[in-house]
Amino acid sequence: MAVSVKVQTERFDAGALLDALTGRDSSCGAVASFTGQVRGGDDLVALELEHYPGVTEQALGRIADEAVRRWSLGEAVIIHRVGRMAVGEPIVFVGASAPHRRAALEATSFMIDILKTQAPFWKREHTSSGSHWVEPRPGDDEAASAWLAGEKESTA
Amino acid sequence: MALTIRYFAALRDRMGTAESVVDHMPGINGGGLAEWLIARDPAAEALAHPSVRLIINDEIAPRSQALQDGDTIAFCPPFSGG
Repeated sequence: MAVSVKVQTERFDAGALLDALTGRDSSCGAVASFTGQVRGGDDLVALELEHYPGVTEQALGRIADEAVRRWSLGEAVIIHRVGRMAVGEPIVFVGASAPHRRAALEATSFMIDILKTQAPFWKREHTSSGSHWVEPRPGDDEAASAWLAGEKESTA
Repeated sequence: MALTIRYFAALRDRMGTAESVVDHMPGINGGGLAEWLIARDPAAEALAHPSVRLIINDEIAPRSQALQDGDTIAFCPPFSGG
């Protein structure tokens, strides 16, 4: 059971990360992943991500550990970028390998949902007319709460 | 010894500083520290908002947590990663 989490400024290659998860563990029949990227529109020029160094890595590690425990994953990976990013650039990669598809898909969903409310990252949007801090969406809390309350049970 | 206070993102902008150091106040908790800061500076009013989370010595903590001399208390706006 391997867990890998990283916070970095450099752009990552989601395809390479996914490829690295594939074929490494013969007991796993499924690999699932999620990649978040900077969404354009509303005059957005760039997105800036700030975090709480040390605390963030610890939070990501706990989230990945919990996913491995709940879904008996082969591997769990979370890569999150910080700093300034242009529209279309990748922000976050979450991946999981598991014996079966349901576990890999659910674990991936769990990790990104929980990350949004439990890891200290903050987004700032830069537009041609200025910049502002992003407010979380109301649905973010609900998605995380559902996992934490056990409403979304592991079916692995 | 003292308390180190850190502000992130929108709260850092609001407070005009990323970090400040104050003398430890025996018996005070996280919520009490927020109230004390607000009494000193009206700009700190946002610290009272329930959406603001406290990270005390690198752990998310309730406002009721008692503060010890040497603690680092971070006031954090709602997280918006991912």
